Amino acid sequence: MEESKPETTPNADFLQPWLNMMNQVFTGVFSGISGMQAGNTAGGSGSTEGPARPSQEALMSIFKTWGTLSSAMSEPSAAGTIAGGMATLPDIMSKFFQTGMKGFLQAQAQAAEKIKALGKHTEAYRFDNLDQDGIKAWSDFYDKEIRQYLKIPQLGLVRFYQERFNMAVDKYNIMNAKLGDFLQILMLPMEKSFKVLIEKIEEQVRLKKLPEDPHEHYRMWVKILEGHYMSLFKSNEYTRVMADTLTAFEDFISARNRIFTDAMQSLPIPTNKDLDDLYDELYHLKKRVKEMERANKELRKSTASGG
Amino acid sequence: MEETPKIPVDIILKHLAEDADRAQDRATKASDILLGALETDIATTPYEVIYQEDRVKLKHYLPMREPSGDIKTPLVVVYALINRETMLDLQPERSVVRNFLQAGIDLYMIDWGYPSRKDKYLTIDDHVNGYMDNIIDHVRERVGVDKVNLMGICMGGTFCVIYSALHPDKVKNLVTTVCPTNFDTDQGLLHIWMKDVDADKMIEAYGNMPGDLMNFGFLLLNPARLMIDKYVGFLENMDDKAFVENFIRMEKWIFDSPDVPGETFRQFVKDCYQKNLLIKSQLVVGGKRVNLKNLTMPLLNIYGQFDHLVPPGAADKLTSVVGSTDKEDLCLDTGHIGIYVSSKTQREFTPKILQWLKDRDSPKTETRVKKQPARKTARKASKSSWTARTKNTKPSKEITNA
Repeated sequence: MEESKPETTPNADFLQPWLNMMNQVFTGVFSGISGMQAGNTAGGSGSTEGPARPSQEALMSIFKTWGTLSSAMSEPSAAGTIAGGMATLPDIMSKFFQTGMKGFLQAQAQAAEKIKALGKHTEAYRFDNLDQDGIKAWSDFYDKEIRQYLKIPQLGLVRFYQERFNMAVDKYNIMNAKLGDFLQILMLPMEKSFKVLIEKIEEQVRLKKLPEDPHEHYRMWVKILEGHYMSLFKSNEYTRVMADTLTAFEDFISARNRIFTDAMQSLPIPTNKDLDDLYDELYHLKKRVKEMERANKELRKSTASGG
Repeated sequence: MEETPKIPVDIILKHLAEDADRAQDRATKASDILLGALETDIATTPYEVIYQEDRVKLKHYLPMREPSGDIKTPLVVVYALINRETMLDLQPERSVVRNFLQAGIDLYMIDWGYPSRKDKYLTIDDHVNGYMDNIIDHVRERVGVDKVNLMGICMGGTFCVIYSALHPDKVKNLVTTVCPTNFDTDQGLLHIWMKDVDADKMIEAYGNMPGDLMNFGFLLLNPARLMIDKYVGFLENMDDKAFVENFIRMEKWIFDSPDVPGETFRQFVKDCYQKNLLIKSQLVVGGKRVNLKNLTMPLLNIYGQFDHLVPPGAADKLTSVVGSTDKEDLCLDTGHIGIYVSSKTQREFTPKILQWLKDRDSPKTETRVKKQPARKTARKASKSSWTARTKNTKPSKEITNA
């Protein structure tokens, strides 16, 4: 009966000698180290006989393990298995590459979609009111495209810190956008007042009634400006924008305070929260002491008056 | 045939040339003034601190003359928590404090100090039933009187109203000046804006209400005048040493803004500006209802017709809801700060208070004061648009920042 021949693979021919060689190398290194250690122990003057140093032990154990493994792997049957596995390596690598490439292309396509979508979310610029649209466009862009990245759920040990940091960045951006709105609305009376002033001057020129005193125009402008501001300040739009700006400021300051508290927790100094808790306790204690002092005073008074 | 009007280009150019000359001349003089010694100290009238509790101090002004026999009762002045009481003593020639002292009044004034973060929990109750009550007890004991005369300014006036309602037995006469008591009015922008303020959020973020933020809000009430015209006026008059000194004194005062303790600000905004509880006698302070009918002492209520912070509508309702029958409204032709610092009002404001106190304090005249319904001693502020009345309120060369 013909003895079944182990199935050979194209790589088996070079793999087995290489494993044998590596086995010999490591066995040699291992015996060399053992020999060095033995020599040191036996002939080293002043050296005391004792156990090997932990680092040497660890090194020897690694070499021993490798020796054992490589001996086992250099057995013809095991080498065949490994070689068989290696034969499938290109397939696996190709699969990995394909998956990675697919993911990359998908991400790229998503990004391209997002970029394309930017124009859809924000209104087209109107050139008659460029500044206003500029602020609104940035505000919309931030709200729809950037903000979501700051809201990605955080994972792991530092998730709370990262979340608070992201929130502070988010609030900072919102505050800037609201501040932009606010400053813009605050500048409107300026623009309008100059427009009205020009109309008035044109009227004066047309009627040939320009004032002799050039200061008159300044006074006229301030009066117009004051009027415009008063109208603006009484409008619901202004009240809303102002309230939004204040809220955005307060949100940012609260978020900033929270990350400061996080940062300060690692330092040997009390945080605002620690101090606030302490002040709260002090406040209530002082109040109690004052009440007791007052009651005591009343008592002494009534005792003195024989009441 | 009628002559067509011509543009007087020659005259305009002549004026411009003159202006340029004047500006050059002014700049030269101004540099001498600004680089030279300037007297810009404020609150120079001598005083001693006779009581202190936490950050709060009680100033007792040193008498300038023998005590007057006409007004024996000590006068305790309570300023607002916003800005500083130094406004009553900005400069020697225009000092309410000096005017009182020269009339022989025994004058005390509360200095609220600068609240820090540890003061954020202090409420209106702590200020009124705590600090104020302790101070008034201290003055009563020191002078040996049962009651004091009380004068409140702006928010300090509101505190005085609350105090007098809760401790009527300790107040002989009450003077409120530019004192907001009715917050449900659309005459002033502050009253409109405050309706939308989220006080809880503010206090969570800031702890105490920052003085600089409030100042910015006040500047926004009239940016054309307070942020532009005022400084143009300064540039036009900076060759006048007295003007520069007064201007800088006012700047020193106006931007010296302590923070307002958080809880007090929260309660003031929510209970007063947003719910308007005080004028309805529904405000609760320290667990007690502030019933304005308890205000049975004589009351003099002074306000400014052109006040943009406490417009007439916010001040003139008080006399109609108090329990006192001896009450008087006085509407002066000025603004919120002008009432204390304008030289024109100085001739009216302090003499009026002195006479009014004298009529009710002097042993000779005390019995002659008749109980009378509230009188308006100046024309009642019209209900027309407040904005229309804010125009042309600045007397020439007089600094009225607010």
